[in-house]
Amino acid sequence: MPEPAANPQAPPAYKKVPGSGSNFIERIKLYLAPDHLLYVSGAGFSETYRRFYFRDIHAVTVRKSITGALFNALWGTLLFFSLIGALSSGSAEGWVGWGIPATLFICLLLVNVLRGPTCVSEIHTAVQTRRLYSVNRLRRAERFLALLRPLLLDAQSPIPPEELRQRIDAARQTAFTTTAAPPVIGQNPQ
Amino acid sequence: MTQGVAAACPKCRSALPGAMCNTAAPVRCPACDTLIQVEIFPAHFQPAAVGQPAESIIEEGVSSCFYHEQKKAVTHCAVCGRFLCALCDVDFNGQHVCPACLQSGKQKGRLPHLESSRATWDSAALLFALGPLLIPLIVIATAPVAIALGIISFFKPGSIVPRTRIRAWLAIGFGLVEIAFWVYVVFYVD
Repeated sequence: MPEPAANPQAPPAYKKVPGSGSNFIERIKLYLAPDHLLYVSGAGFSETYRRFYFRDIHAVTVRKSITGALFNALWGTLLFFSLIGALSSGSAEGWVGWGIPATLFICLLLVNVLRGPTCVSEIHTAVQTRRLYSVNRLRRAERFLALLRPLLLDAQSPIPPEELRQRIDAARQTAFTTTAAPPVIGQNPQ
Repeated sequence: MTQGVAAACPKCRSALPGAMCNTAAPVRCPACDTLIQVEIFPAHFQPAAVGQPAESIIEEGVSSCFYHEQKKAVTHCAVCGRFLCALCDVDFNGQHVCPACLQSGKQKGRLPHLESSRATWDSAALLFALGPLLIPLIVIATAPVAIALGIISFFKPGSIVPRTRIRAWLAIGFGLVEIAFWVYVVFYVD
């Protein structure tokens, strides 16, 4: 009989992954435990937890999104109109009145530009795909991947990178060659 | 992404060659030209684990399962110590736990690894303290609630991730200030 491992009732030590995000309803944060990634979504009165064990994570994908560019356009447009308002007012009160929103918009624009391009990150397991709202900037995603990669490779059976790429290519070939024709209504499947 | 399925672009879902996966920096998808980073891990190619059938007892002196007398014990529960057959042995976070302990642990919150949600009393207290400031009249009702929730949060289990008590202290502080303000307005302002 195998010896029992560490006490399963002991809570794991969590370390926060930098960054937080929101899906308009909940605030999302990520935490690292020795054997899993904890996805915490908080909605004011309660927190919901989802655990992604390192041994179960199949893939992490990141794609650049246009959200950052859209916000740049929004803040830029509002800044432009604020400056137009300030220039056309011609009075000290007008300058102050338009200067306050203009300062706010220039700050928002600068922060958005300095944080870099936005992205959509997802984590994939055998049974689910979950968007990581807190990993929403390309630079942060690169740091997140650099943090997660060694932990996942340690927890999973090692496959050399070259062999992994060959397996991906083989799966791609299989996907192209074994795709069956779509079913036709009224016809019995063969 | 499921096992054996080709790696795909997270935006256009077109199959990606192995050379475009597990790259150090983001690359452009050949199909949609989006900047992407796809990280595939060895678990993607591992077959799903198959459960073991429970063996019947065919000789005397062999320990039997607590739940199935006719089945041979293969391990014991890490929580209650009962002997378990292969059927009752639940692999939980690398440990062997019986279904009863798993169920009771989840219901009573004894197994932190199974907790899927928790009430955050301190956040609720802060929400009650600051939220109603927009409608000053109802603060007279919500301020005592904020103080009560803030005090309760010191005695109830909080979030499973590390968190300071600042929200509870702030809620109590704001609640007291709001009550003091209303007492002043009601009794001392003519």
